Amino acid sequence: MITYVIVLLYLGSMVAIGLASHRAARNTPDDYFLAGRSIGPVVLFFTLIATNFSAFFFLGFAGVGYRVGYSYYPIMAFGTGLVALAFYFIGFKAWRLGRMRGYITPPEMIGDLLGSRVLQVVVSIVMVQFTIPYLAIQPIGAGYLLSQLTDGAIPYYMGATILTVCMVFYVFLGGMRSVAATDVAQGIMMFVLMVLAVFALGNALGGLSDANARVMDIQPALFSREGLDGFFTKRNWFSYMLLWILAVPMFPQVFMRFFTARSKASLQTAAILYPIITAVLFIFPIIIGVLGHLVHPGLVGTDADQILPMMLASLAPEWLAALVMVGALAAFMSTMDSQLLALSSILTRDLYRTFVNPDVTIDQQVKIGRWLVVALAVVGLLVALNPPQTIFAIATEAFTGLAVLFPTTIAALHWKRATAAGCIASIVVGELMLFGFHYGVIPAAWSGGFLPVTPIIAVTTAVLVVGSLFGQRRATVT
Amino acid sequence: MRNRRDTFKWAFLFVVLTVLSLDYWWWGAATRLSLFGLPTWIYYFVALQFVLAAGVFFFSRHYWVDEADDAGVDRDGGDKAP
Repeated sequence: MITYVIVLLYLGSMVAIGLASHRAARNTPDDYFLAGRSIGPVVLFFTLIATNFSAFFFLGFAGVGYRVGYSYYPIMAFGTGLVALAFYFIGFKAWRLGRMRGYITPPEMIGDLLGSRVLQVVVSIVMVQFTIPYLAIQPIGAGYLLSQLTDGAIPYYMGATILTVCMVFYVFLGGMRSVAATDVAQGIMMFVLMVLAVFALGNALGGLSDANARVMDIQPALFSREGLDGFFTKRNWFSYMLLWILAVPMFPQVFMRFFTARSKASLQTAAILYPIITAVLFIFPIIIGVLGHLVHPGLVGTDADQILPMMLASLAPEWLAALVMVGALAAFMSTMDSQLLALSSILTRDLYRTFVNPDVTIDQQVKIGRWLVVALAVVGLLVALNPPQTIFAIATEAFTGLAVLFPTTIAALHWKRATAAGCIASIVVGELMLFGFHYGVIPAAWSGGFLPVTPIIAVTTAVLVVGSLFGQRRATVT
Repeated sequence: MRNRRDTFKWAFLFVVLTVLSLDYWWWGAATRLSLFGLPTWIYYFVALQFVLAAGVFFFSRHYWVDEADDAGVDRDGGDKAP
């Protein structure tokens, strides 16, 4: 019973916060997609972390902590913390240009800076293609979680639908204003509840020091720098670090946050706090995963991803387990609502306005954006009905697929000799290489022990530079 | 005002921090447990991230500030209406 009360209170609060924020909204694309470019430092920080820390942070980290050990902490914490530098190299300039020229989406900015509608469309397609699989994963995870929380009383698909409907309701009405407001609540919940979970579980196991020492006795490799079974090699460690730094700023839902900032101070505050929050917060789920070996030894494969709820069910009172799992629901919802809005804006501004109706009015853009939010949520639910394995296989490559856009973004913002042709060639070659590696057309050995992202970024950067030096730059699109 | 030396100084700091995250000297070494029973190298990374945050703080006060006036200059030398 307490579980239902907690879940209902959570969902009711989110809808109420979303509705309250909606009252300040105006009917313009700037307001609906970017909250009128008015987000202050604290809200920007929380909306960035809530958006970026998805269900993988809550459930997946504990799972890899169980499978790999503590060595997974620095790759996520420091790799993500370094993204703070992108707030300056990409975010600051994008923010300034966005205010000057009215950009709403990243493809719109990149295409305009290099004077190419084709480039705008190519960037749009890549962003949509590699974000949709992640979008579809969110209702699936949320549905499983709600079903688990209620011991199956709420079936998986009903749970996915309930959560998606609640989210779509406030995104439809309030757009980014509602998303940002709920992100603040969800970000705080995620932080507080994860800390609570670690200390409750550590206490139940006789204290963190003692519990860790006991795990060290039975699985010392979990404490080694390379991880269990030598998971990390020096080359794939370098590759992972590269991957996080290049991919995270290219998530459209993260990139668009740069346009929403009210002032330079908003971006600066978020950049300073970002490495601190990742340093503190990311260790908690890893600890829970490692300590899981004391209570649930022998889990293999994806079973290990359930270690957090399993530990809570074994060691925590029902109310605490329900509360912490609501934190996981917050992680799902805060990522999916931002993905819905980002994809909706790209489809409206970069594809519909370019191909279908160049004269679309401001009012129509907001209306189309709203209904696209609904349509994308329905797509997510349809995929959740019968999840095809191929989509999930592609999703695993999503980070690399988005990282391919990084050289183009940097060139568009900082290199005056960059050309649209060079950028398009760079992106096309990069994505072809990714699919080549994924489907075995390019032998894995050709990556030299690195993850595919390392050779792919090296080649795409070279293609961009050579293509731009030998190409001709076009005038800026007006 | 920013100058080439400032740019080099900040670039050097952040490159060094990135290189320090490739902590290959810990690899293969015996693990010692520290506070809360966590491996010592965990605290190395926590410290590195706080240094990174401090670096970003001073960067935003001394370099990012000065660049404000010219960072958003139009690539083509002009401005455009939204």
